[in-house]
Amino acid sequence: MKSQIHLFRAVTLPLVSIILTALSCSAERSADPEPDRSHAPYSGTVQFLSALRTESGTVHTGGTWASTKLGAIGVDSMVFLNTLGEFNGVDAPGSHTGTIVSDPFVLGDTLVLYAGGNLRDDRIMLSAIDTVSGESLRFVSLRKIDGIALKRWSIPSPWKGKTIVLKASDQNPSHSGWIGISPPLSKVPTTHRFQSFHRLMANGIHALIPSIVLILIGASGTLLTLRVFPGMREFGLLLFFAIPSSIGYAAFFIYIWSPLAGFFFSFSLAAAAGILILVQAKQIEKLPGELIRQYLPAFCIALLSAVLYSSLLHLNWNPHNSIVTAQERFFAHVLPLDNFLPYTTMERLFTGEGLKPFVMEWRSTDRPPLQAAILLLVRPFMRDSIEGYQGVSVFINCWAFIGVFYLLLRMGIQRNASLWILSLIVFSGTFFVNGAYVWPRVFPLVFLCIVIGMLIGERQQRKDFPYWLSIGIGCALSILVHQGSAIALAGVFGAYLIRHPRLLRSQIVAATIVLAIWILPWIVFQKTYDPPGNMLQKRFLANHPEFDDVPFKDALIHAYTNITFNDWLSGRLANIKVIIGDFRTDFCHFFLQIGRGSHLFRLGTFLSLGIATLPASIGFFAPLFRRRHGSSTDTRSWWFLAYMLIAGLALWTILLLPSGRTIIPHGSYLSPAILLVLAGAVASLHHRVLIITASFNFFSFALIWGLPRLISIQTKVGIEDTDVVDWGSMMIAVGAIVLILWLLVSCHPTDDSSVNAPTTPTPCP
Amino acid sequence: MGLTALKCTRIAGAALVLLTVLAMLYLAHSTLKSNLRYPALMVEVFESHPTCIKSYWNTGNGWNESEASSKKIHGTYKFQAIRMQLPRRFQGLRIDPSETCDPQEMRLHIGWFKDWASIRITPERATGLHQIQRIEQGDDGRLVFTFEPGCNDPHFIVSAIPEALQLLEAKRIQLLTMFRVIAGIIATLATLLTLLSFRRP
Repeated sequence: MKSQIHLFRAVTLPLVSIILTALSCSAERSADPEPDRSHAPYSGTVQFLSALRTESGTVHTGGTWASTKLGAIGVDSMVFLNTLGEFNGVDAPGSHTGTIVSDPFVLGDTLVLYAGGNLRDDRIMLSAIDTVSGESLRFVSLRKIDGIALKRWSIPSPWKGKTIVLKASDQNPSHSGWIGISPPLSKVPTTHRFQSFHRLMANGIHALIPSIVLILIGASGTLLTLRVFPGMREFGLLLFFAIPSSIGYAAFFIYIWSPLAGFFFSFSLAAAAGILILVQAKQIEKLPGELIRQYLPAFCIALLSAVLYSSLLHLNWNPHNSIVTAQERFFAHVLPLDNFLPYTTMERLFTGEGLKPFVMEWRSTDRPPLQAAILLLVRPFMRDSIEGYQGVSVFINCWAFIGVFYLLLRMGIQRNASLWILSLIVFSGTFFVNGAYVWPRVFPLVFLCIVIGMLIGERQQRKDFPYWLSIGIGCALSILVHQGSAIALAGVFGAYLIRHPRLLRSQIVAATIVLAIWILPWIVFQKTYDPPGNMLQKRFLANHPEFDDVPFKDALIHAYTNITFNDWLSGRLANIKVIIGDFRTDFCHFFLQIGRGSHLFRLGTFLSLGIATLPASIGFFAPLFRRRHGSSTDTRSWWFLAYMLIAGLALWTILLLPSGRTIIPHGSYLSPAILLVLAGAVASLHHRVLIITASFNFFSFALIWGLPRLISIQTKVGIEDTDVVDWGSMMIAVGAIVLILWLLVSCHPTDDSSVNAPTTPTPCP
Repeated sequence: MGLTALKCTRIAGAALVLLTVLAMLYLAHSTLKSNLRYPALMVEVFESHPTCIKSYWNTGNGWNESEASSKKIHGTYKFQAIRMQLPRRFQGLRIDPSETCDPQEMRLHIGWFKDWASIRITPERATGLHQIQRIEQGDDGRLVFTFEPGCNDPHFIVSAIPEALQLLEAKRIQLLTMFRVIAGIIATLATLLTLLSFRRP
């Protein structure tokens, strides 16, 4: 009990202090606008260094698109050159080229602009022209900006104090070539140092109640199930996540039938969950401290990870909402609309608008519904649906870490070491990007890892029905989140069948029930609502990228009858290369061309399994330093896990028909998770190696993803911009990191951490 | 040792659950209220060629493009649900069901939720037919439109809009009242249970 209170205090106090500090800063900002009044754009009194004027070409000021953006950032005198063409679609006939210049002004230490467009384009130039010598200094941006961003350049010493004219020239007539700049500023307005922080707070505030409702539904449903079926006690963790997911899945169909019925279903269910928890308070009291101690740290890490990922997403100034910010934030190119698809499904069903037609050429039946369904379940409790959606989605993505923690415990690794291994995944660029860019890729891990944990944790093949039913439910839910889970599961069960080839009656009955209750409704929906719903399978397994009604079977037969063995083989080799991290295939080369410079490693982390797990790979060297007395470690389950990984990767490489497309987003995120888990597990053989691995992994993460670039770099092209850090978000990010690190340090691993101890969570008595 | 062995922990836990329930009731109420703020024209298209459906609302300025909304109809679908938001108060509604002369089958409602708080547009409510030969009532309240050959701007006007809006307002109040009653019962029950859990030894 003392340790529980200690843990509670230790977690709560720093958290409260961070929130209070954040609130006080926020209050300070609103209470004391005077000191920086000259840079307060909200009042419409921004003091620019000079004014802009048109030199040549068609210059548009405003437009429908621009006025919204300008309103959002409070700048009322931005001049647009070649105003966005395809984006606003207004008064844009002919060739959109031209030049705008500023009046002369003196350069200081920094130049700050609100800028948009592709400043890396060779035909788009933003430069300072020395009024005396005529020399020019080019300003470039590392990223194409699909909107307006706050940009800052550090001025090199020889240019400081010079009188210059700012010149923006657009000689690219295409729609994608454009530039938009504000008149120059000498420093970043202080108010905008908290711009993204407000959005971060909106994420948290609008996601708070929906997230708690999900927890309440999970907790009350689990308690109720355990009361009715005490035999399910050992599957409590799976039930905790499976119950809200399954109910959300049911809500999806209710909302399709009638949005009002769906609203009352969500509302009644949430109320019932709250009341049920109050009624069952006595049963909660029976929960032993052992169980709480086992999972509370993992839950804290999952929660803190959600806070960390959200705050890093909003680390820099961005005028867009969270969904668009996540598309633009991480790479030189803008990520596709995938994180918007669950949102639009949720919102359209909630408002009673149908899903036909869906988005672009996609059909609503092409993507499994579970992420949208869970969010739909709690949609009535979101006042701002976009920010609420982002916040809750990040939260449910981070459930995956609890699943990974369970897997680690089932591998026979002690709790403290498991937490350190978990940090390899939390501080991994792959999981950070995909956790914040909320497409349903990380979320299925919670089910996949629990299923794998249940499989590898048993020495003998279990025959009881509840065990196989639980596994079946976990598998079905993971597939209903993302189809890529199916290939990962094929690898898992392929390896399992080699070890236990006997097919049990309980397995068949459980599989039939799961197919009938969980999978069949989705298949019926696909075939009846907007058929055929097989676009993803056709694209990746049959190399058939066209959006048409061709059945998957026909596409598959056509693909394999028209491919030569040599082509097929070279395709497999290209797939293997991409997994390792060689991007010389045409497909990846396309990304590389956009992701030049410092973004290359980030992109590699996003695309390649080899690069994604590189920082943690030093953990595999632990056996070199292993002490003799640690030889009692039972690594059989680790090998089993490795076989599952190998089988999954082999299937992925063979089945993914397009050549060189085995980038991580095209498969399941189970592969990087297992690879990181195995690296950590091997590292845990020697506690110092584990600490070194985790520390190196953390510093790599901080350097690549966390720490913003503070100083502009002079390159051959010109002066590169720096991201403008949002002070509020940075404070929250640092607070979350400090808390996670504190949790890890207080759970220091020892050399006894990986002995073969019975570390399976103790069930309730 | 149990999780809630300490009295203060138990009280804090129960209070937290109660607060969540109350916050949830408040948020659900405000979401429902905001959803019921503006009525919508709900169109269920059963049969149509690819075209556009457009609606104009008259707020005293006549039919004009700034007070109009249009949505695409994708002819490939057997069923398509379309929603066009309307202002809270208006005096007249004009519907341009198609831009072509091909026959159409669709169901039209004004309101918020089609089966619960809405008014169905029937052929009797359609007046001022322009380039529309006839509107027939089909199965399930579908309207079957037949247009004049060579038409380029078929439309009709929905009659008795002020009365319809009054009726909708009554339905809106009814729905909100029903929600408030249920929410009140839940809030009372949750509070009682919380107080009881405080008393538990």
